[in-house]
Amino acid sequence: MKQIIIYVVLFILALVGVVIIRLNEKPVQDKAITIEQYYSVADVFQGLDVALYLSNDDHLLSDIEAYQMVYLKNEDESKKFQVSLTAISIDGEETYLNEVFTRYMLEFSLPVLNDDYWIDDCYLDISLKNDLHYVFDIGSFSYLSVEDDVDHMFWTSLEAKKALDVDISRIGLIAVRFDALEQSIERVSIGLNQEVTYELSDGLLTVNIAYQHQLLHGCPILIHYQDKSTQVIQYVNYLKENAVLTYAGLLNHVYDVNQSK
Amino acid sequence: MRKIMVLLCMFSVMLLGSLTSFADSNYQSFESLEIDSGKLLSDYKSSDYNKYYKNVEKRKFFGWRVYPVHEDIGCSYITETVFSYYNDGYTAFKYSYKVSEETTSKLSLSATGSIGIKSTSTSTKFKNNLDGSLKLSAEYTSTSKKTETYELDIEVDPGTQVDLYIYGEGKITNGVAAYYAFWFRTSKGGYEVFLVTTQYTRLEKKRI
Repeated sequence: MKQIIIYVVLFILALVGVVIIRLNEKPVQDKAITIEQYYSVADVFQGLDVALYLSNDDHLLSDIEAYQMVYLKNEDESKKFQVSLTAISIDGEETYLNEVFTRYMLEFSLPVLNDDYWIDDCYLDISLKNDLHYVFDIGSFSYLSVEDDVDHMFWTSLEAKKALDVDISRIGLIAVRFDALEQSIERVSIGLNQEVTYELSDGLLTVNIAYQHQLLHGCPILIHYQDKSTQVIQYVNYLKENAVLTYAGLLNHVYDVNQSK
Repeated sequence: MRKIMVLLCMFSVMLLGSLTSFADSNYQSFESLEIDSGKLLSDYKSSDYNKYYKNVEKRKFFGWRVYPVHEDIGCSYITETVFSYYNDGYTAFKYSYKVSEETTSKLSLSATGSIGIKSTSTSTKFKNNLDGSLKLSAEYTSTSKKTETYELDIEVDPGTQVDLYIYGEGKITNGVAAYYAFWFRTSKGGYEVFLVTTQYTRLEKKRI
């Protein structure tokens, strides 16, 4: 009889323990992170890829079928246009502040813009089919309109490097090797409101990108010649790093996005 | 007597299980891999092992004794040509290059001696939880295998060929370790962890 009482007491104590643990459990927060980045487009057919980090792989934001409408806009919505989500792919995984995040790449196609377009404080405004609405700060957006693209330079290689002593995921220079240059270069740019300088020597065009506190993984290169023509070297995503969140620090925007499938 | 027999059986099973050696060595197939200092595990000589093993020979009740020889040494690497495409037509076209790989591929493990690596459908780790004893930073942790997609839209002009290369930087940690169970050493060998930190894309174009 004594033994039975001991077992019953032990069972009740275990049960109470489980209940206490359950009551003190914090609800799991689904988090999303976006990072301030400089996005530059010089061809609407290029599209736009935006990285979205999610702590929960089952979140609706990872499901393309759940999306209703997406806009790019500034904070006061004086600039706003719709973009079409064409694909969502997994781009990697990162551990940040003891939590594991999957990096999803949201791939958008852009509408035809007839003029240069700049959004300094760019937000991704997402409406899901179940009426949930999210607004994520993604950095800045530059669109350069180029009507006639010439081919005065035959480039033979393209590669980029991070600047020395820069921890964040940002390229600092692009080296363009070429074997023919038919016109004199007037200036070089990679997008609006991004200062660049260039050096030309022995078949090498080095584009130095001034530091701004934003990520920069890829860009087109626009070479403006003295005959007033412009050559666009295609957008290339030059850089991919595996600890982007860790080094981005204050550039990270962390959001609570509690809504699972 | 029966207890001793049971213990002996347990040790036999553990020893048999630890004899297999495996190297998950993606990074060893790179076109070139240069390290800033130190040595790769594949360059350790017998004399190196003999010297380093002295640091893990003190017996313990249970678990790993680890002697890190090189920690977080920087390295740079170049992969072989990832992609090559030519356009022998008369108009330019855009080619969308897409490749999928496991998210865990940024981390490669290598082991020698009787330290094993176990690869499951969800992760690749050293056997007997050596990973936990190495005290690696969070960067080195890879929790699960997911399919990661790398995509690049390339414009290929007529009469040209475009080649894509990937090169980058990484970190390497290696050393020796020994595993003990009830003061018996059941496995011993070298370990190496390679982590890709930065990947760069290089495009080359030539006339055909």
